[in-house]
Order: sequence, then C-alpha cells, then structure tokens
Amino acid sequence: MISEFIKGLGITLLQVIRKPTTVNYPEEKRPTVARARWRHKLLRHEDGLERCIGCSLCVGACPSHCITVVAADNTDEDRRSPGERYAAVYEINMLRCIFCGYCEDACPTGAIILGPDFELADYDRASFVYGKDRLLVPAPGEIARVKTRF
Amino acid sequence: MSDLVTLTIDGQQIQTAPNTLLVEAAAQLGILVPVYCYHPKLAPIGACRMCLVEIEGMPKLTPSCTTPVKEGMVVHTQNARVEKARRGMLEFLLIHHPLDCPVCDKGGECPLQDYTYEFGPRKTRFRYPKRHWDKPLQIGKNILLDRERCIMCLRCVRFCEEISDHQQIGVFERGHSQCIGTVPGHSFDSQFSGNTIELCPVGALTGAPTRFFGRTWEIQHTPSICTGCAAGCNIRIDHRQQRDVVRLWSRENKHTDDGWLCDRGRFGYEFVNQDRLKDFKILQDGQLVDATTQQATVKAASILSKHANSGSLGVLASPILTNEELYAVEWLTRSVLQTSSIDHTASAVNPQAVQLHSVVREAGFRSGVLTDIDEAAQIVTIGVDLSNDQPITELRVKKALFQRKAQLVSLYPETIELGRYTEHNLIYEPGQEASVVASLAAAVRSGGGEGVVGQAARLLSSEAPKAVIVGWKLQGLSDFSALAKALGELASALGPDVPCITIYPNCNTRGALDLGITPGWLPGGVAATGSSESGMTGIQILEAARDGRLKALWVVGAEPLLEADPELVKAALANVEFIYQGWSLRDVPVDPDVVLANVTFAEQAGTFTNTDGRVQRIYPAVKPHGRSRPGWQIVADLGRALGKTWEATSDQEVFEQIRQAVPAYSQIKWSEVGTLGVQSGASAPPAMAGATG
Amino acid sequence: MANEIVFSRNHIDNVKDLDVYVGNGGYSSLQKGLTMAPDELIELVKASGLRGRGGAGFPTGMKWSFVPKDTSKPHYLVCNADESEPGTFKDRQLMEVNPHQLLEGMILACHAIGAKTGFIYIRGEFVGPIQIVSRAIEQAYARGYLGKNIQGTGVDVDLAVHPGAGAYIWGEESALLNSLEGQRGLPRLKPPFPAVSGLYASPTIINNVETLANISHIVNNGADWFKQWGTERSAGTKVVSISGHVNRPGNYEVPLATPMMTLINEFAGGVRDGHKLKAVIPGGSSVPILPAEKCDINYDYESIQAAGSMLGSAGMIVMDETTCMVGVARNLVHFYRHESCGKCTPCREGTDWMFKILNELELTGGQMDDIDLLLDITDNMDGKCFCPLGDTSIMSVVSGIEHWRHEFEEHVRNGGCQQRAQNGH
Repeated sequence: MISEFIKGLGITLLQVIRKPTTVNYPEEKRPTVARARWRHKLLRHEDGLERCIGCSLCVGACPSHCITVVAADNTDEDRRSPGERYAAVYEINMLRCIFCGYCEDACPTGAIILGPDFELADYDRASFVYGKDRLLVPAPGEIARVKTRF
Repeated sequence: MSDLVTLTIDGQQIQTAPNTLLVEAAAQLGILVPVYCYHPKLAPIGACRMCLVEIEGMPKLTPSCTTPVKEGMVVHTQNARVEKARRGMLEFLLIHHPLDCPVCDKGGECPLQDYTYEFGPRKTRFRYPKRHWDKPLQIGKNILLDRERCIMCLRCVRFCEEISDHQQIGVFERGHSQCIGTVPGHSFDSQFSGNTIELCPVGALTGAPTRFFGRTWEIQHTPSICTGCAAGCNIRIDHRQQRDVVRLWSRENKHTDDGWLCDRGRFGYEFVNQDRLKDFKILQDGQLVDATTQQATVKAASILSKHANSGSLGVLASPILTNEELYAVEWLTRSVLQTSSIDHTASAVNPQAVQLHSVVREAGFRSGVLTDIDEAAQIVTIGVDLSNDQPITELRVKKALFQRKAQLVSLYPETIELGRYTEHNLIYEPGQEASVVASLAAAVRSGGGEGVVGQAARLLSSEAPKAVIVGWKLQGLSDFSALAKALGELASALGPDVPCITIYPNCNTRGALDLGITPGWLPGGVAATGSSESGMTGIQILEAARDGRLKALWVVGAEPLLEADPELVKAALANVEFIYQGWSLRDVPVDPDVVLANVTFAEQAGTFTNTDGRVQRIYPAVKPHGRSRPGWQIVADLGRALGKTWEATSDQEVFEQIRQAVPAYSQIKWSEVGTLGVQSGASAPPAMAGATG
Repeated sequence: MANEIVFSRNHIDNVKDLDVYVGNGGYSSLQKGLTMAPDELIELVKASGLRGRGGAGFPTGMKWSFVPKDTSKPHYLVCNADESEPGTFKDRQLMEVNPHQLLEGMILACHAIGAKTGFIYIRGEFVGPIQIVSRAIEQAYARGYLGKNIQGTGVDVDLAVHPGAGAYIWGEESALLNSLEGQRGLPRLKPPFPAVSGLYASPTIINNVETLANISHIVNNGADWFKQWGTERSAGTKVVSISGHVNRPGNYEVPLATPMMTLINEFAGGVRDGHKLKAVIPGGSSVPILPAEKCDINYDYESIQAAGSMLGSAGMIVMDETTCMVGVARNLVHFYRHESCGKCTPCREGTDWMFKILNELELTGGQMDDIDLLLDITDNMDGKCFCPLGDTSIMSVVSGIEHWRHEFEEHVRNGGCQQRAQNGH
C-alpha cells in the first residue's frame, strides 16, 4: 500500500519540477501562430488612402451576417479611397463573428485582414460592434486612436 | 391550330404563333438564349450578336432576336459552335469593360456578369490599355452615365425614340470610340429617364438619387403600389433589412403601368425615409413633447368628443391613405362623431363634391379602364394633360399613337405634350369646357364642320373604336352641370359602348370617393341624406376654421393642407384645436395639439384603388418608424377611447367590412387581389344628386 | 481588246459635255429603251447576264425583278457612288469622264423599275465628280433628257445628287439609305430587303455606278452583243483598278475572264522594275490576298472564287516582294477599325483588338501566341457581324497568316518589323 502511495507521490513530484504549460497571462504572453485569424484590420494603401471601396462583398461572404457596410461617394475634396466609392460605415459585430476569414477571401482589394490580436474582451455588448474608428489602421503620421482598456 | 408554326429547338418541338422571334420561342421552352440589345418592348436591332444560334441549312449563325420562326426550322442553341460564338462575343464586350463590379450599382443583378459567369471566358487575352472615359457623367437630374461600362446595346436610346419620344440622348462618334451622350444643348431630363436605368443591361446608366444604395445581395424586395399619381403603377420596394427604402423598381402590370415607371414615382420615395414621426406627441406649454400612445389617444379622443355631434368639427383625410385607413376615418367621423364635414382634398379645383367617374357613366359612357386605350383607334382627351396628371398613361397613349397609328383629339386650355402628335388640338379659354365639348358633340353628330372642331369631328364620326379620357380638373368648373350635359351629348354622338376613363389626381382619390371621404357621399357612392347631407368640402372646412365657425380639425395626412393657400391653412390651423395624424410634421405649418404617428404605405398592408377602379394590394416592406402605427389601428383606438368598439384585427378584416359597405367592391375576393389587383365592379349610384355643400 | 463598253467614249475630248456626248451617240438608247415595256427591259438586262459591279456580283436583272408591282408607294432608284474601298477607283473615273453615260443608264433603270426619282449618292470626298455629275444633270434637264416626258416618250425621271459625309460603311446599301434619309448611317436589318422596303420604306433599287453605266449599251446593242465578252456566268467587261507595285497603275476596262497576269503584265506594264510579284489583292481591300503562285488565273467571278478570293469591286492591289504582309494587314485593319460603324459588337471590338495586336507585332513584336489569338479573333468575327464590313475586315489577316505565317513569326522573333527598322521608321 505504501509503495502505491510513494508511486503516486512520485508522479506528483515529477509534475512539480516539470516546466508548466501555462503562462502568467496577461503579464506574460505566448506568441500566436503565424496564420492566426483574430481581430480584423482595415488596411490602407501606401499613400494613405483606404483600401476598402465599400463593395460589400465581405457582407455577402460572411456566414454569420456580422458585417455592415454603407458606401458613399468619393469626391475630389474628400477622397478616402481610390475610385468612386468608399465605405462610410464599416461595422463588424465581434460577438457574432466566427473568425472564418471568408471576408478576407472575398475582398477584391485586400482591404480586410484578420490579425493575431485576440484580446477582444469587453464590459458591454454595444462595444463589441467595431466601427471604422477601431478597424482602420492609422494613416501614416496619424497617432493611433485605438483605445486600450487594460 | 393550323396557323401555328411548328419548329424544333434543341431537339424539343414547339408550336408557336407565326412572327414569334426565335429568342421568344426558345424562352417559351425554357431555353435561355443570352441577349443584350433585345428587349421585348423595343424593336429588335440585332446589334449585340449575343443571341446567335445555329439554324440547320443556314451557313452562318443567325441572331435569334431578329429571326422569326419558320415552319420546320431546326435550331440549335447549345452546340459547340454557338457556345464558341457566345464566348467570343462576351470576350469582345469585356475587352474594354472596366470590370469595376465591386463599385458598380448593377453588380449582382447584371446580365453581363451573369452571362460571363455562365458562358464567358474565364481569363482575358487582351493585354492592352482599356478605353477610358470621364466617369460618372451626370447627364440628367437623375441619371449618371458611365461610358466605360456601356456595351452599346442602345436600349436607352431606343426607349427614348420608340417609347417616350423624348429624344434627349443619342449615339456619338463611331466604331471603337462610339459612345452614348446627350444631345448638345440638352440634358437627359425626360420624366421617364429612370426607365433607362432598368433597361440598361450593365451599370452604364445608374440612378443619381440611388447611387450606392447598397449591394443587390443585401436588398430585399416587396411588391407595392406607387403613390405618385392615380395610375396605380405596380412597384417593387427595395429595402435593406426592412430599414430604409433604397430604391423603387417597376413591376409590370399590363392593366396599370405596362412595365414602366415615371421619375416622379421612381424617385419620390424620400418621404418614407426622411423627417419621420417616430412618437406620438402632445402640445404642452407651447412645446410638442413625446407622449405615450395612450396619452395622445386619450387627449385626441377628448378633443373629438367635445366637438362631436355639434357641427364644429372638420375632418380632412389624405387621398394617399389606404382604403382601410380611409374607411376607418369615415367610420369614426360619421358613425361615432356624427360629423358630416369630411373631405379628401382642400383644393380649389374641387369646391363641389362630384364623383367624376359616376358622372361620365351617367352621361352614357362605359366605365373605361386604362387598357381600353390599347384597343382604341381614336383617343379623345378632355381637360387632362397626361404628362402632368398621369405620366404612365401618357406612355400608353403614345404606344397607341406610335405602334397602332391611333389618332388623338385633345381638348385642353393649352398645347399639351401629346399635342405634338395630332392636328386636332382644341385649345379653349379656361371655363369654356362645357361649350367646347358641346360644340364637338354637335359637330360629330352633323359629321363635320368648320375649323379645328369640324376636322376633329370628321375624324370622330367614323366607326373606329374610340376611348375618351377626362381629367379631374373638370370637377372644379362652376358650370359643372352644363359640362355633364355636354358629356352626355358627346357620349350619344360618339355611339354606344365608348369607354371613358377618369383621371384622378392621387393614388387613392378613387378609393376616397368610393369610401365616402367626401361631403354628401357615403361609402359605396351613396348620396347622403338627412343630417349628414350638409357637410362642408375641404376648402370650406379650412375657411370655416379660420372664421371660427369650426372649433376642431382632425387632419389625417398632410396632403390636403398642401393643396390649399398656405396663409389660409396657417390661419385655420392656428384658430382651432388641431389633431394631426400623419408620418411627418414637415408640411404642417402649425404645431398640433395632438400628434398621432401614422405609418406610410411602405410600412403597412392594405389596398389602393387606382384611377379606373382597380383595387391593388400593398405589402409592408419596412418596419414602422418608432411607435408609428397603421392609421386604422389608431382610429380603432380613438373609437375605443370614445366608447365605440370597432371589430377589426387585421387589414383583411377591414377589407371585408369595406366589401360589405361598397357594392363595387363586393365581388372582390381578398385572395384574388394578389400582387396584380382586381378590377372593382361598376356599381351604379346616382352621380350628381345630393348636396354640393 | 479593251475599253469596249463603259470606257468606249473615254478617249473623246470633253465627252462630259452634253453636246459632245450626244454627238457621239449618247442618249441614243432612250428612244428604244423608254418605249419598251419595263418588264421587257428587265428581261433584256437579265438576258445580258450583267452582274452588279459594286462588289457582291448579284445579277442586276434579277434584282430589278424583285421590286413589287402592286404597291401604292413610290419606287426609287439609288446609284451607289460612295466608292470608298481601298484600291478601287473606277466609279470616280466613270463619273468624271463620262457622267452622261451614268445618267442615261439611270433613266433606263428608273423606267425598268417604275421609279420616278433617282438619287446619286456620291462619296463626300469626291468633290470633283459631285460637281461634274451635278453639271451634267443640269444640262440634261435643260435639254429634256430629264424631267417630265423625256424625249416625248412619256416617261418622267428626276435625278438628284446627294453628297455623303465621309464614312466607308455607307457603301453598304442599307446604311446608305439611312444616310440618304438623314439618319445615322448604320446598316439596317434585312429582311425587309431594300427592293421591298428601302428608301422611306418604299421599294428601292440600289446599283453601282459601273452597273448603271452598262445599261445604255445593253439597250442599244442587245444582250448577245454584251455576252460576247466574258464567260457564261461572268458576262461583259469590267473596269479593273490596278494599283500598287506596277509600272502603269490605272483603270482598265477588260473583258471578264482576261488572265490576271495579262492584266498585271500587259495593261499595267508589269511589276515595277527589278522586283517580282509577291501577292495580289484581286478585288479591293475586302477580299482575301492571293499569293503570287495562285495568280495565274482568269479574272472573272468564278475563277477568283475558286482560287480562294473574290472579284469584289475589282480594285486590284499588286504587291512585290518588298511588301511586309504584317504591315499590309495592320494597314487594312486600321482602316476597318476606323470605319466600323460600331453597331455590332464583333466588328466594333474585334477590329480594335486586331489592330492593337497587329500594331504591336509591327512595332515591338508582341508574343508568339498573338498569331493564333488573331486567328481566333477572326473566327469569332467571321460570319457573326451585322453587315459585311465586319466579316470582310478579317480577310487580310486570315489570308496573311495562312500564306505568310513565317513573316508574322519573324516579327515576333525580331521584336517588330525589320523592314520598318531598316527604312528608319
């Protein structure tokens, strides 16, 4: 009986000296895999114009219907993207999103990509609807406006 | 059966009428032959070469859109040779096409996309810079042109030549630099310009007001009826997730619109989206404040009950409300409030309550419907300028003039658009209507005479089938009984069974008349008797309110207020207790005491009756804004607050009650109204008896 | 044995003047022709075997007989003088030198088809012929050869000149009618054919200048006289416009079925000195190119067709061995691209695309795939265009690649045209 007890304790002791699989999140962070698909970003062209042209193909591709796009006219005075059209409203409901990446597939201009940022927790439901203010990467020279919550 | 032609298409035999085009015969078999320049309502030109098919015995491929069927023809639409030609043609169309589908309003419902997907090449072999044009070009108030996307099918140009005859756009340059443009010095402002957006098989012509309305896969469609005029054009409301109305599209009904839509109707939907009342309101300390439905209803009921049965209340109900709403308003006004001053218009054109469609029937005409125009060889328009009063019916008349060489006689105080197509323009001084009609009748009876009237009469004295169109403005004549008499003379001069179509101003004026929203007439066109006989007309109601003879007004829908003199309206509304029920306060110049939020036609179910008495259904397309409700439910609440319960829980139940009350509607089965409507029967109430206020 | 019929009076000084023309037997056919019944006249022309000289070669008498007899509408005759085919310049000389011969033929044709009015639709660039023909019409009116009761025969004919405004497509008869009516000159749908519903929706016959110029001679001399030249199916003579690398370019009226090499070597004085024949376009730019080895044929409708080309409008373009066939195709396709009316898709876009490819082949070489791509484009156009303009625009490309594919391949390999580089272009 004692031998069994010692055997069991041995296994326990073995675990104590083994390197733990957990990390001290959030002080310590594990690298995500290279192709991790988390929080979306709307990219810009090198000249600072938005890549998104408001075509809503991502809306058509989205299996969970979590994207809303409302397009508007580019004018010479207020040019947001190349061509005629830009997205005046671009919203993703992160609560509904299943991070399948179909929007990225569908996008004809490579405007939307899913990145490694998985820290999406929040306190109220409304703030899970991400608008352009949070999705669009800052223009060159623009100070990041992305709010940090922690 | 012997005059049918038998032929074989893709191994299937079909019998079809002679002169059927091959592309139509194939469609009858359910075989898709891709087309761009072909359109069933336009003459074939055979320009796009998409519809090439192989006919056995013919060395070359043949365009099926220009080739009529022949006995014993053997046609192949799907063999390798035809498919190669199709692929080649699509490749030609695409070499200069910008492929900016992601930003094109047509994307998703574009035949160029669809056929390319189905038949076209997968990759381009064209390695050179594409043709470029400035884009988009605003060529008219409502139309944007993108020449890069254009495939030169010329449907738009042909529409403007063959259908509307507003030749404001044309083809310029030639060959590879050919393009569509506006005729120098003109912009494309035809009131039918919007139809070219629908005709365009690519995104070359798009609507300026509907630019970037959303993508077609996000849009839902709901069948409805246009509220722009009394024609009752069938439309399709396009909306995004039942929120905003983003676009109106035509929906073919040969009884009303014949597949077209005028710009006034097509782009006149902004009132559904903008300045909407979301909440019931009451006036407190000179300020309109939001109130609960209950509070507002109680307050309105208290005002109504204070003035019920005393002759100090007036009711105005808009002629763009549904039959169900109008019926409810009529019920509350006459049965509960014991008030007889109720009207659907406050226009000076209608100082006396007349049922024009009954007047012409009494005169001896047959009650006409719009499709009677398609049968007529001679058309007489009396007191109506169709391009203003009912544009779609003008297109129907033009179709008769262009395609069947029908002839027109126009009686109007000035030269009208249709006057271009006739020598018989009988122009008269306003007020002379009765004598002009009478002299025309006399001339027809004597078989001719001097001058323009005589020439027109000579034309009309022939046996050819005729149709008469009379306009609502005739109602305003001071010597209306003389006109009615003259119409009677004309009817007997033109012979038996001549249809007469009455043109009313608003989408449900005919319904309002049928439902008794007019003083002196009860639902069903029954002349009022006894106490309810002495109701005031709309303009009299406003004048009485201004002069203090009325103490309260209940206005449902602001349209009657827009028809009267603004100063009068302001003075009248400021002088009484004012209950306003409607969808927007934009056209209400004085803050009402109570505001009841009504939905528009886009948010409710119901029926409209068009100018010739066709009852057509509308369906809820978008969700009601805020707490607004269908009018008949608001009225039912008011009734309950006044202690009268009205038993109706759905629009269908209300319609059943309307059927009971209006003999002309008694034969209409709710289930048959469907999306295309049912013609109401001709009841025969007296036309002119009763009060004229 | 040349200049027997339509050029028979060309040597006479100032024959364009009415007096000179009449003095040399002009207008002599009217008395005979206008007193014949119209049907007799049509039968006579049918018997002569005269075929349309505009390009398609349709029997003229047959065409006339298509005019319905029982319409209440007026009939019209239209003379197609919109000669715009590259390589063809015969009608111009026929009108410039001897305009009355044309008028005489038109009067007879009008009588045959029952038309009271005829139009001469002359290419707008032909300022000279427009003036000359207009002057001839004035003279003819003044002397009673036109107008009411011509020469006491009771026949009324009015003729008028209508200048075109500069488009090749108006040589296509239905486009010509649209242009004549004042519309955009686009080809019309057929059927209905113009003989049934043409100008102003009335029965209309459209004939080429040379066709009509033959009529008076046939009436004067009879069908058998006419048939002494040519073959059974290609009767009479033909004015051949010879241009290109020959010593004596010009118009030559020869009997049909004259050997083509005789035309080049004897009439046109042979290929220019020190060079040898490489290719011939036998009938204007709209027909396939024949290589030299296929040129040993008779010049008539059937023989040329058998050799793989067409007689067309008899504009013979002779090319010697210095000619770059890619350049020829590029040049001709450029013309068709410019002249395409744009109505139908394959012609509008196909000519543009072909030109872009040929231009690249000629200037910078392009890619080897381009040659097969060109053939595929021509296949997608062939027989699929609305009117013959598109269908014939591919001829120089198809026959060019068929016979001289190696030249196209060399262009790709050399990065463009060597000749062009040598000549310093």
